[in-house]
Amino acid sequence: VTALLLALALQDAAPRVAELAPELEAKETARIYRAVERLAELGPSAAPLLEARAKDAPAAAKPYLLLAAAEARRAAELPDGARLRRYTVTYAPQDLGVLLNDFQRRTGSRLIPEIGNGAELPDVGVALADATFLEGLLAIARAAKMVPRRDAEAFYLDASPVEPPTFSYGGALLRLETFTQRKLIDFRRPARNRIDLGYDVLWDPALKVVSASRLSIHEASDGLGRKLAEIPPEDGETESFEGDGFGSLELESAGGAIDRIAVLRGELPLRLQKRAVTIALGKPTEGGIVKAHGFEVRIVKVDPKEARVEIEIRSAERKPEELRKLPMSATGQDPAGQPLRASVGPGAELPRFQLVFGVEPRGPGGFVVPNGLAAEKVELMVTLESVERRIPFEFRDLKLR
Amino acid sequence: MTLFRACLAALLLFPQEAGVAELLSRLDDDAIETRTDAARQLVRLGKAALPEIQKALEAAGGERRERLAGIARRIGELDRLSVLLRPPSRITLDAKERPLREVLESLAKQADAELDLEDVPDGEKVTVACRALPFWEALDQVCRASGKVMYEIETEKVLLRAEPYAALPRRFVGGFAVLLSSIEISSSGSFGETERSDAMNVHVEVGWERGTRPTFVRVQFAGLTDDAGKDLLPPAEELPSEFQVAVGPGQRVATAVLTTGLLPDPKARKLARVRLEVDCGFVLRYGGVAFAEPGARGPQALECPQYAATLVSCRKEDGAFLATLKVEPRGEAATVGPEAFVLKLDDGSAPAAQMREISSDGVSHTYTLTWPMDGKRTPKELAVRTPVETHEERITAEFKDVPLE
Repeated sequence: VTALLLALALQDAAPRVAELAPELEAKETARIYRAVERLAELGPSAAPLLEARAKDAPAAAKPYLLLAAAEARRAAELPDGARLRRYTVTYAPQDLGVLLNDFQRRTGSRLIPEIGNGAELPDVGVALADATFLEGLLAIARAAKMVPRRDAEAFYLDASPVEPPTFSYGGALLRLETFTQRKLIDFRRPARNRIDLGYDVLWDPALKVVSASRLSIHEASDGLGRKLAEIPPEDGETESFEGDGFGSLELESAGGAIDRIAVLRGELPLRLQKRAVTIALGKPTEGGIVKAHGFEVRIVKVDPKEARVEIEIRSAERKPEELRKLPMSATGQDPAGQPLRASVGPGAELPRFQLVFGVEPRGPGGFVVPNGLAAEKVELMVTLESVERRIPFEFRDLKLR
Repeated sequence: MTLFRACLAALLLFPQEAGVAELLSRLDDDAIETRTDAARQLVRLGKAALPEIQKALEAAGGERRERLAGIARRIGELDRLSVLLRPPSRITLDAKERPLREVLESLAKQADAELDLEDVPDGEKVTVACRALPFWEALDQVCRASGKVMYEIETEKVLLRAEPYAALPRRFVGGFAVLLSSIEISSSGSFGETERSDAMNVHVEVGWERGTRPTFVRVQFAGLTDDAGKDLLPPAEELPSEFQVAVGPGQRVATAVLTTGLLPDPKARKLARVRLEVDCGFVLRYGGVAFAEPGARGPQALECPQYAATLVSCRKEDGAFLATLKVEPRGEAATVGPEAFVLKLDDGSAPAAQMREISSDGVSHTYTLTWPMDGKRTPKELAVRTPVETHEERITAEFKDVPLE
């Protein structure tokens, strides 16, 4: 029966593979990876077909067929959120605000256009075909000559005459923002040439990303084909970011200053939430205790001036050290119903944690701590299980001069 | 005959200095050159001439009195400076295939310098000879002769690393060393945009001998050109042209970073000329107020031309001494930073303060200050002070053909 099911699945996948495989020989990385993404969506059953095709494929397409096969196998291990919704909609030219309202309603996201003081929103028309939320947002932003940015759960569009190099795949969007070429002449050591790249990462809220880590580089070379070596961070730790999504990486050029990066290929490691519980804390009052999902949460201190709530979490199943490693976040609202979001960090001692509340949406101004916070309907979300999702990316011909 | 001629030459070249009384009388001479020369000679005689100068000062009036007071003040300044600015060491070494560690120990002993020799390879030998050289120059010679060690000036000592000698761009002036440790050339931009932000940072280390105690070091470019002759210094109004760092007690080195927004030509292989002006500041006199036995008395208020200060409260607490002071600075010269508050303990030490401003009405400011203090110690004096007389020693260091590769 299994063999029969596999044969049927292969039969189903075969025409789609045949349709998409030529795309892997395209010159534009966006087209190649869009095809890889679609092939991966065929699921594990398509993997043998893709691997078989890779054996006789042209050299340029081979690595992408193998990547698609690996991605197809991984698809089964990913949480439901990683299977992204797609949208097909045509927007006739209209006010960007109106368009965003509709896109927001369809996608359930929070979208804020940022155009500066007194400026009017442009009229924008765009056709989305089978686009994920981020692909759609990127298409709208391009049409409006803007770039999408993210702050916590809210997205906003920022006016920008030039679009920086952007790569979208698997519900994540990686954008290279800045570069610095640095020549270090240390008279005690040989001279070094370094290239720092600053990047920004956005992801589809449906992915439920718990944290993102520093980019991992698989291939980087300059215009003359010379390898650019990745320099690991000095502290040896993998930088991870949860809120703003900004990161940086450093490459070393043995051949001196360069004009461009010909290839930059690697992975963006994300941790996706697989299983989580929500503990309703209501209106936190000092000394209050809530028991739920095997956790006991005691409110130790409420500091409205600093928008801070200190809690103590205990669990019969987990030691305090284990609790500290669990990703947590919290939401709530103020008495007027304004949504609040809190970052949860370790307290002064185990098993204490601190919730620092900010106003939603945070917007481009960043985390806003309200004066005289009175958080109500506070909910603490504890991620019990997460899974790593490594998002492939590839940039070509990045001009540095 | 030869000896006679030598003595005659010496007499002609170095006329015998006149006595103090004679010099004092020349201060009234009609010729300004004679008066100026007499004043210079009196200053050179220093403290030895002070009793007679003071005596003459008491009897003098008018212009002569002013002149004598100026000479006495200058002698006092130089005397105070001699405590802070030590004359350079005169190191003499004559080593043939001697253990490197032994030679470096001899160097450290002659200069009364603290050298960290832990990393110096055992069994390494060196042949080096020098005569009456200042410390930094002698140290550089030893390291160069060995080739197996390199010096690095750390905050409070000089570290010898077991690494090949590196001929840093360096200048040794008296008891000071001016080193170019690194140059960083960077060009930044945003993808898709043509605008670039360029910068060249030149890292300068200024080291001095033990016993020399500057309170600040200021470094500025006086010239910077690449090998194509391109001037890399922007107009003075565009960039801060100087870098000043405060120097703490016991510190042996100051590190400054000088920046220019003009980059050398991409094909430039060297900087043809880097000229630096380094000013080392020595505080000759402080003005301020001092609260005696601060832990033993209640609130006190004191005034001086620089400050009106009230010691509001103070106490010992968990290995620290805490004080709350209300300070009203008077005049532009009176600065209020952590270095303005000096707590002298009964063992003569003066730990560094941590300062926090807790309130201000625009005129006076209230600060809490914390000093680390062993429970066995007792504070003897709490001073609020600001420099009122400073000597700046200028060192000019020029580097040619500084490599960029």
